Amino acid sequence: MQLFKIALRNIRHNSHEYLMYFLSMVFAIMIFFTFSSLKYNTAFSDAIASSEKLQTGFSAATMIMGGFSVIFIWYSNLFFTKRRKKEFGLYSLMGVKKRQIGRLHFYETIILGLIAIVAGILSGLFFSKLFAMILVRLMRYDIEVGFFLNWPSVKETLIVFSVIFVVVSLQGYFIAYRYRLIDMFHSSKKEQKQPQSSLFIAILSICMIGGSYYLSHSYFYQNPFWGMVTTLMLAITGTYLFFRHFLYLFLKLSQKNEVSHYKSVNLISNAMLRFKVKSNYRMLATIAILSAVTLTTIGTAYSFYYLNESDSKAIAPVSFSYEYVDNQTDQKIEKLIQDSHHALEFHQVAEITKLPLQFQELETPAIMKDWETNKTYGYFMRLSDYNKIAHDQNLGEIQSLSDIEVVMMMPYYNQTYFPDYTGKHIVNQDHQIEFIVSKIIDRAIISSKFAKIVFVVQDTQFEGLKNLGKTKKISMFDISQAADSGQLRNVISTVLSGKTSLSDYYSVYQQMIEGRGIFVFISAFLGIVFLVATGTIMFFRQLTEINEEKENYLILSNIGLTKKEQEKTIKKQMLLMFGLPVILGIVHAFVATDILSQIMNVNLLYPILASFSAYCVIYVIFYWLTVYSSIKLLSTS
Amino acid sequence: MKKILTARNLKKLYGTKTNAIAALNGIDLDIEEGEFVSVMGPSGAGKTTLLNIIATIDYPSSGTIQIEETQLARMSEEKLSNFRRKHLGFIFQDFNLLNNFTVKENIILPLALANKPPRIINQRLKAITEKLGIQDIVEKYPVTISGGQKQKTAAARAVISDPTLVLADEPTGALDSKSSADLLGCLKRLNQENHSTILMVTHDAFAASYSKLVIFIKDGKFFTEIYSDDDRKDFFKKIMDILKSFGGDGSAVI
Repeated sequence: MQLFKIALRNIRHNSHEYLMYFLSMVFAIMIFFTFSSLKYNTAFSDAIASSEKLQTGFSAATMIMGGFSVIFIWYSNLFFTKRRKKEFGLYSLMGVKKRQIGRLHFYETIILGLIAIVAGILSGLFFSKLFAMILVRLMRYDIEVGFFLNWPSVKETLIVFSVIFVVVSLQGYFIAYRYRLIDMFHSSKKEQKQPQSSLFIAILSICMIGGSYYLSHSYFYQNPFWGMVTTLMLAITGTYLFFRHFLYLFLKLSQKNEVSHYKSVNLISNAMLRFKVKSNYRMLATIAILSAVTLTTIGTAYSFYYLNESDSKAIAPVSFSYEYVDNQTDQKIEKLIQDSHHALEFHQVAEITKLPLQFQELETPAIMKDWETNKTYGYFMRLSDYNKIAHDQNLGEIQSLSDIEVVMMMPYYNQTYFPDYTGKHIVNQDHQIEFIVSKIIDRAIISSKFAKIVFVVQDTQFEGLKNLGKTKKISMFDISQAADSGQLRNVISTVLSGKTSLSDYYSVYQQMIEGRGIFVFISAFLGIVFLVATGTIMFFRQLTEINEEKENYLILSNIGLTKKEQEKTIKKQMLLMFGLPVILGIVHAFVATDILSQIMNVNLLYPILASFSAYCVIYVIFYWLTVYSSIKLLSTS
Repeated sequence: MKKILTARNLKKLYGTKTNAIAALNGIDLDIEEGEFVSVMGPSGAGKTTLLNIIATIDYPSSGTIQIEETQLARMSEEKLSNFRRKHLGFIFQDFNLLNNFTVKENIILPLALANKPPRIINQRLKAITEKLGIQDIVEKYPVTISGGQKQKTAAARAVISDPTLVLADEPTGALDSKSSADLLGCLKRLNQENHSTILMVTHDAFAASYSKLVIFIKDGKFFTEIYSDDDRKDFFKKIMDILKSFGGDGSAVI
């Protein structure tokens, strides 16, 4: 038990060194616990419609979180163990048995881990209500989430992290056990050899990154799977080579510019960075890649959330629509809307007719295919009907059409992903129908429940087509605040049940936003954990290196480097160490999300900038923490 | 001759007030421009303390110290840094080279700190490395060069900015005898040709015999001083005689 006491004392004594690591561990455990408790909270999942999405989403999230925690804790522990080799050597020299040193280290890790688990679960309990409320808000629900403690999630968190800590502690035991005394004393002495780098590989790394950007915007469209694989491979390899060869070479070549290199701060920062880059390039590249993945995920999630309205409109363009029954029903619905707190903005009945259709010159879009009959169909609509709806929906009215022209309504149409249909012919051989597409509009006009692709034709032409195809009338209503029309929707749905089927904007919007809200929630929290963990690793690595360089800074100060200049060199070094991976990560993610906005044909600049800036803010905090702690560390010598 | 350094009644006390141990107990020291002074004395005599105080790295408990016109007492740390970079050059026993810096970067550091233009830096670098015979290793890193080359690099760094005073703390302590002789020759040349004023602390009589004046201190106080008559072997003998009078047979302090 004496060893146990020593272990406790060691933890207390070294607490300032462990603090950052400990806090990020607690944070990781807290998020894991939150995910887990949202997964197991039956009261919560019963209250919402998409409970299945919730279950699978949070199962996946806890799995990712657990996997990441393993890597983070394992890496950090290895790092701390290596740093303490000399201390272990000293114990050994004083006659402490290796087995005892191993046990001592085992106790230390396990105690620290247990405290972290308890603190993580407690803070998770404390914050879980807040987090659940955030999720509820994201999913646009109006339910009260109580303070909840469920045993399955406590059990899950306990088991998962206990296993992680026991394994990691065992690893520490074996590390302490395996080292020979002589190694223990040599470990902290770093060999300072000049790294080799090649100009060819440095240029190649830039070409690889550039190539991956290019491929992502060209080859990707032709072959999404192989496009993605090659893009990722090129980008990842390029990023590693960039930090290993290009960055080093850049620092070396910047020495050649004597005017700037011979400035004291530049000279010192450059020389120190050359070695930092050598020992840190793997970490820098990993952070850049991890940042890119995280940012792309968060950016995508937030973009989807942001696009929920327009995506819902592509499926259900107006608030309510159903197949026309009779005038009496329409009036009844109109009355219901007027009696509600929503305002009726528009009521229209439009006629559409369905006919087999195909493109003459090119492949007919798959969306027009009826999988049962294996034939392709299109819907026609009167120009006058279109213009009435277009006015309400801000689609842009069509002035006139010639006898042979049609306007094609195709949601999500964009020229990079789809062929250009303008000027092409749509035909129906049986009825000798032939039209030319004069224009494509990338929006929907009729709920996709009733018609997928709509072609707008001249009124006189429509009268002819009407007799050939399967014709139906659609009643359409548009109201104010459609996203909050759940109650009204239920009333209307009851009225119509048995007569006809309803397509409403609210259900589409709500169902989508639930899934997307979960996605945003999970990716944002996972992203923050990734960030905090990588930031922490960066923090203690940099501080360890500054600690090893203490002697150098002392020499510099003896020669006459002032405190102010010392601060400047540290800021300069940290700026590059923190800034470069973040910038490269952001550029990668920007390119990746750009593909998304091209495919979806929307401008995602706002949601992407918002999530990227949030990311930068966290990293800036870590930068300042590191700079501040480094300066403090050096001034205490 | 211009006075470079004037120290009066320097005292350095360690420990509590009631139980103080004096590392320096009232030392006076005068150094004139162009001198090459060695300070000798047995271990614990206060050599290194004296040097550290002159180097502005340590403070005296009492007494005054003046380098050229500057009184060193009560300067802010910022000012001291600036003073060191302008007026002092350092050579240490364990070289104190920056391992992450090339030989060239190590040498030009004081000039870079003073923000001298590249043209002047390159000129001075060329002149000094040629004088010390290290012009071929400037692009190398300290770990790849010999101890003698390291100390020459340190010497080059100490004198490149033409400091008022070069301070050397046991510069031959980590060198073999051949490299020692080589380095001391270099210091002597710098003293004679560049008129660098050098203050060297050593317990090696052989190293001291290269200087013009040797000051002996004992128990934190001035003991005696002797001047060289330009015959190094004879000077070495004289130094050894004084060291013997400290007790021990002299070889013990080499």
